[in-house]
Amino acid sequence: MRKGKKLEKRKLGFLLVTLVPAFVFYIIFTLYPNLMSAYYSLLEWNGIADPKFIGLKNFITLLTDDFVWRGLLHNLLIMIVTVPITILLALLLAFALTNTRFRENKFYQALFYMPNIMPILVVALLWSFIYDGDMGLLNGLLHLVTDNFSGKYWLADKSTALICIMIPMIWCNVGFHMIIYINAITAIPDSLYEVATLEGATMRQKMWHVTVPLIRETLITSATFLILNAFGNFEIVMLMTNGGPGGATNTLSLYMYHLAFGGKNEGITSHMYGYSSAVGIVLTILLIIIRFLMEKFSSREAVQY
Amino acid sequence: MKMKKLACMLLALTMAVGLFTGCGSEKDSGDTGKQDSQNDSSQDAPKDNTGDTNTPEESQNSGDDTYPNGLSKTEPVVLKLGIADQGNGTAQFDAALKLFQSMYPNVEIETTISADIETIVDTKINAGDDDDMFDLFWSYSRNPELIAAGALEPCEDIWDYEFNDTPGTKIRDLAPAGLVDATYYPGWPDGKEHVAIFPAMGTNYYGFFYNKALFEEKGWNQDPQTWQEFLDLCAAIKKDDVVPLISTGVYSYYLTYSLVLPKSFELAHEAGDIDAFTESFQNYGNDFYNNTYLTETWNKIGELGKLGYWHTGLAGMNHTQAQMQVLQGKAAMVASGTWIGNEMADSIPEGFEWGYMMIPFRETKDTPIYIGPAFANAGLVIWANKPETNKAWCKEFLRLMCDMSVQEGAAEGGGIPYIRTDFADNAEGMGLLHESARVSLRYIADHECISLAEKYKSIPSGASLAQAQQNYSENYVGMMMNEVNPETVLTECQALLDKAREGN
Repeated sequence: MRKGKKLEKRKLGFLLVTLVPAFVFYIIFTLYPNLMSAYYSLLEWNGIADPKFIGLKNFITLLTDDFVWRGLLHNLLIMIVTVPITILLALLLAFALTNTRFRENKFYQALFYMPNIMPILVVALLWSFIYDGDMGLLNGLLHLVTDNFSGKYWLADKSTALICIMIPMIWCNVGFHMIIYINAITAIPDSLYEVATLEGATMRQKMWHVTVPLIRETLITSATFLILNAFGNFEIVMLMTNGGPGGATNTLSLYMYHLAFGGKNEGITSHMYGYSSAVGIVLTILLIIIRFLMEKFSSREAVQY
Repeated sequence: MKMKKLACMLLALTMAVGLFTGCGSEKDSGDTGKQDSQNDSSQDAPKDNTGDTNTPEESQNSGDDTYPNGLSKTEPVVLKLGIADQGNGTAQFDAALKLFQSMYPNVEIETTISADIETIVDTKINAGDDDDMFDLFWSYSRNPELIAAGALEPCEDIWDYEFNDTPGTKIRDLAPAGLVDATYYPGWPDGKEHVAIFPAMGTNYYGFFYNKALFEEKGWNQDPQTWQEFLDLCAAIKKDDVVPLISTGVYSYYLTYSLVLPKSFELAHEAGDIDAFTESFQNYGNDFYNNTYLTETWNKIGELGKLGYWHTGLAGMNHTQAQMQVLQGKAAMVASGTWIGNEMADSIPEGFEWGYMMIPFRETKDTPIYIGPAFANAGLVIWANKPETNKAWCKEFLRLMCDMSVQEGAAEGGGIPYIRTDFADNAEGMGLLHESARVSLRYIADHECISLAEKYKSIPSGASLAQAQQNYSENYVGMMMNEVNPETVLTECQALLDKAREGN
């Protein structure tokens, strides 16, 4: 009995030593900034002059701000397009790499993962040049089959700019999620695939009826990360189009960044930390709602094997 | 087993302690030089900087505990310097830092270099910790706000400092014509004009850059004097199947300073309305956006679009892509700055020669040509809420950047135009200057030019101002390509600005 209590105490001590630092860091670097942001959202403040408390005025302004609603729409479009495509591509690659016995599989894993570790500036420049109307790779490839797109500047066209931004977003993320899926797939017992093979299942059937259900939890976690990324990622948009042409690629997070740090690329502009924080709070609430909905509508049945 | 558990606990504890130690403040890390100088801020304030006529060697060997500039030789000082790594690179700082530390060994300079130094500065400003803030840093987009808040140190006294390497000569005595006046800025809390950005980093200008060799080969006019002559030039270029004009559509400030801002002032000047226009502009007045001259400027820019003189793909091009179009001979002129030669140094094809012009919007040759100076809006500033000693040393650093050797290093390494006129007499020094800088300085010398800096006396606040600025910059390309009516955009922006002016 005494031995059991001693063990409990030791366990508690170990847990405290390991968890407290993480919790303290969470408070300092996550909770505190978010609470401060909530406070800033009630202010009119440029970061230099004395802040002025204005209550909910920033939130009221936000409701009638067309740039906010347009940014939100662009974020939703990015989410709707990039999340399923990224998951699908990552899953296909993961499935292919785990179901083949090529000697160079490790090399392919590293190759597909590489875009994820490339600096975002390099990615943005690379894709900007791919889309270049004059010397871009895309037009070069299209030229092999048609001359219809000769000299087309893909990022300069309002109808194509947003989709052109989404492609590098997918390209960057596929490798990372592929690695996660490979780890999940390799944990599935071979016996399940062997049974499927004996039952005469095709590769496609194995993927949809064995792999996908068994890595469902991983897929949901992965989707959550991708959704957060679709709303929070603004660097690539800023570097490739800066929200242009004519706001066609401006997202909520980029608008928030411009409000907070000024449109440095537009010249001398004002800094609105209060209003920017209000946009940030709305974005946070939105993401919490999305997360909640994902929890609610995804089945909680645990998979055991 | 016990040992294993103990080892685990110790490891976890060590990691936790390590993490906290990593986050320790600078105060705890033994940065005594900085602490000393701040605790004793008034003790070594500068005595008379204007009277320092010593060479670096004399400064080091003056015998007592102070340098001839009145600053202590023995007090350790740490200066924090925030540098922007942009088109001109950082060559000028390499030369200046080396010289400064050899002259003043008791002053240590901690340097932070970043292409986006403004975001780092913003974060430090918001943190509100003056100890952590840079003493001297590159600043641009929020200078009006900083000036209005009294956050920057006035620096006009540096104009009366004597050069380290030319004793008896004040810096103002060798400043290019109009430079000293261009650096004075309104909007300070005391209602007077002061210098916030001392242009020790050189005199960069915006404008339109072209391939001189190509212009000569095609016989295109390299010096159009009026708007009509410029239209004729564009027509001739287009006739030769070259796109006459290009500018990045991703970063609108290139066009702002190369065209929009100076040309609206040029038109106001031509109409004899420059004073009223300047007053309204500097105060974000009730016709800040919606005024005759800005509307006319955009109408003219839109006319260029209507005639097909702007590159159709510019909306999606960053400045590098736009500049490449000129290097490849696909576009004739690009909106950029004097640093373009340094920025594109590795891509310049053989036989390419830089040429420079400002597009004239004037109808007659009687009006001066307005030109956008980069140095008046962006450059090194001193944080006001620092110890006097630190501020004095910052000014010494700025003085030292005016030394001929540093200026030559800046010209050679970064293509930066000089700030002292005796540089122009120095054939060897001029030879170091990049061609893009040389041609722009020649253009300014050969024409009656007025440098037009973006200066504000007062700035409204509120979300509506941000919306006005967002709306304006978003419509740049649309107005350039004549797809959007400038009057509509400017009226919308003015309505939003008026809301901000009313405090909404």
